[in-house]
Amino acid sequence: MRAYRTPALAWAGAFAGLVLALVADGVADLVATALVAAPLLLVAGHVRAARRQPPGKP
Amino acid sequence: MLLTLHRRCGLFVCLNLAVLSLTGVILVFHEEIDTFLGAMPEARGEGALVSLAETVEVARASRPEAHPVFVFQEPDAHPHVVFVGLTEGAPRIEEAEPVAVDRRGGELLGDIDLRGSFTGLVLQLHAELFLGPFGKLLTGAIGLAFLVSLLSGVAVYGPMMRRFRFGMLRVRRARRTLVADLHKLVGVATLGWTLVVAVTGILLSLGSILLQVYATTELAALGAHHADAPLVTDLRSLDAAVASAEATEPGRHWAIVALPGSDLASPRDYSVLLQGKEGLEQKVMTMALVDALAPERAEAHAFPWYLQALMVSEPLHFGDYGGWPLKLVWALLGLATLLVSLSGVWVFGRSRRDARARRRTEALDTDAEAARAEPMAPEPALAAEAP
Repeated sequence: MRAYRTPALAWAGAFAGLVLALVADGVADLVATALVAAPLLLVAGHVRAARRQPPGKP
Repeated sequence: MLLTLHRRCGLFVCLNLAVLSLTGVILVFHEEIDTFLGAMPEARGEGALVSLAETVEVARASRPEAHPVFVFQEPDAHPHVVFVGLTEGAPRIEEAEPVAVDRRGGELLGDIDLRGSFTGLVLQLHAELFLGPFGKLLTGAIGLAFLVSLLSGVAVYGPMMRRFRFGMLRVRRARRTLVADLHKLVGVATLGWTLVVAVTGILLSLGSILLQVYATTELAALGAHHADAPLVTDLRSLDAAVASAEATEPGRHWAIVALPGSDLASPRDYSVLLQGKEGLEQKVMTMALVDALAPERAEAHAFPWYLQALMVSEPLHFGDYGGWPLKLVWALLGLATLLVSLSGVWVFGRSRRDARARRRTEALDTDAEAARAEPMAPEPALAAEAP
């Protein structure tokens, strides 16, 4: 189950964002967009960290 | 077994998913593209608004052999423009071609070739693969296979990643390992969005069927008392009917009117679809049935759950319900899905190739070892001379 911990947070964020964007307008719309975009930011963060990884590290 | 299911479904949907992802990314921006290409008309007239009945007459005069099936407006996107659906064949809303009329002055803005426009063609490719109603069902089947591939993928992800940390990317290992890591990371991180798009896509592929089910069951029962009534062709009561329908649901305005005799109305009723100004009320419409001969008689009616789900599915699938930022995120997520699908197929192909190469090498090694282990057999002639 440990493997699903972080993905589950991303899924919950995306679902919340999609529903919020459907019912909200204005600032809430931006919050919703950020939540939907969160998984992409998560991926971007890991890719960046992997590229900066010094040689020799697993 | 789950991994095999994931691989097989992934291979089945890969090519189609590439088409669906790319066309989907284009469709996210359909409003902007249509505006840029001038595919949708804009009201140019000035002065007082003409009545809806007059706009229908203007449209009808442009094609006297056709009959009107629906009236439609999108006040936010096309203010003061009314679209009248005309058809010469069966009075089906889906088959009617819209004619735009400027309500300011009642000027005809011309026929709109929704199916022939750039975004119309992209939509046909996305929703039907240019195969008509069969294509819709095929897209639904592809969506179902995609859903199975997603669920089996998430099921195999847990056991596979038990010993590793989340987001592991082995950049200094073989390219196949890195691409497989990326496939897992992007796939699992974007799964929430992908699931929503897959499920709503499946629902939308069944849209025409669900509408027909509704028209032949609940709606037919609602209009049963007028089922055998003569068709009302004099539509002068249209404005009164719309006002009376709007009075049943304060805060909502009319969006579509299915005219008498169409597949969503009895021969004597208008079916007026009402929508709110913003949020969920804008997406989920309600309906009022109005007697065309006595327009003061309006009856409000909520759509069944499956049609409400269908209405919510459209924005959730196409991502065109937020502002520019949400559209951009939607497009990026669409491209990410394409990346996950293609990387999965690449890793699968590469691992098969590597396995074949490994088997060949192993076979060669085994032959060489066998040759070394075998004792040298004496030459037959020498063997005969031996004592």
